Amino acid sequence: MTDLIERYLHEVGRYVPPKSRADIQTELRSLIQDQIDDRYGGAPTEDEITIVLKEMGDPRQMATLYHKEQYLIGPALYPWMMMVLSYGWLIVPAVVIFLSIFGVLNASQSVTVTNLVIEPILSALQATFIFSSVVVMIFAIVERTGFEWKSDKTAFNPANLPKADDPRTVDRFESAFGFTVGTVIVLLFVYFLVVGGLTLRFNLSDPGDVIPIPQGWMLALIISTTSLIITQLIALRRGHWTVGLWALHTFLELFGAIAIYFAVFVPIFERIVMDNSSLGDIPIPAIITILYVFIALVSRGIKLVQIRNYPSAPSFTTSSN
Amino acid sequence: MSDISEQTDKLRQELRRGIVVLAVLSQLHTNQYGYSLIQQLSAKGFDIEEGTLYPLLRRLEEQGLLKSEWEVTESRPRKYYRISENGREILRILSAEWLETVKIMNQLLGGESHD
Repeated sequence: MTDLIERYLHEVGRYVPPKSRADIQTELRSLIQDQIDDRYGGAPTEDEITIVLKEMGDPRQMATLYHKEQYLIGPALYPWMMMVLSYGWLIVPAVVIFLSIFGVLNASQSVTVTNLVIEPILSALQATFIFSSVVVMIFAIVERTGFEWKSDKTAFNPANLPKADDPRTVDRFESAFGFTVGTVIVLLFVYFLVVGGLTLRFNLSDPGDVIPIPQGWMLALIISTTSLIITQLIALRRGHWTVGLWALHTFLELFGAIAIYFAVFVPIFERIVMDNSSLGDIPIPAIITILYVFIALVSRGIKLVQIRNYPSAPSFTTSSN
Repeated sequence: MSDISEQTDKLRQELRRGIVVLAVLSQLHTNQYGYSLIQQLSAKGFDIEEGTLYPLLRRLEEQGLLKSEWEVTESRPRKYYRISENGREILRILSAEWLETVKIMNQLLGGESHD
């Protein structure tokens, strides 16, 4: 008769922490037998034992109840993880696609639609998946180490909350992120300028085969990107955007888009067309740039109007009655 | 099962989740093992499933609200639980809180029925 009970206990034991397994099993065994004795006396049938075990519930669910509340990433770390992921999901595919195309152009193999379009997209998907897994794993490890954002609890001050729907607000994390990425990009462009072209071999004395670039446009790109970082930092220091600063920021961004068209897109596209002339029919770099400039112009323009129209005085007053 | 009864079931479970601890603590001024506690609670009209009670006893013990000891002299080994000093203090605070809540809820629900 105890075979069913032992099988039940064994199944529960598989899913509870090893440290407390024996204790839980002994206690459950005693509790199950108490119930059986109480209901059916000393000699229960297998069906009667089955009824009691069914009432106890699925052994896996029973075992789950012995665990503390569990989650892979807790509520304290979850927003941070999502922030890292959301930035990564933008950057990782873009960087991988860029590097893949670059790799194809620098390799001796012929340029085809497969290795220029399909393979970079597949690589981007793969890299994004790996990136996401690694980020989740790192956050899960941090979660398991018992890390707590204690400082956040004491540092929170409602008075420091940004005004709702204030278009002038500067996002601290966005600024920090923009500063970091922008700095890396500027260093990359400076390297291209020094070695005289685009390459993936980062060795000043031996940059390998480079795709020649117009030096003047690359210099303009470096200046506009650096200026963008500076305007972002000024806004961060002031705590808000002004009409003038935002207009300058927008101008630099648009100028940067034109500069990147001449300094990066055109040289890469010319190399692609050189290897596969059938791809030269559509002016892809021009389409991308015009599309980007148009979207940026509209969205930044809307924000400029919002900043200009935002009331500088508080929209309500408090009474001290 | 209809949507209404499914929703009611879920809400009922949520409602009971908080008070189960209070009910269990209130009955452990004397030594009790799991099954005897279920019977005692049931006799007083508070039914609780085995799958809910046993893990709960263990958690309350880990939190220091209960003390336990194995009794091996009977026909089978049994783990007896009893409220700890900490548990007693928490029970006192929670009981006062509960009585106050009941008073407020009576007013709220009573007020609603007169609308």
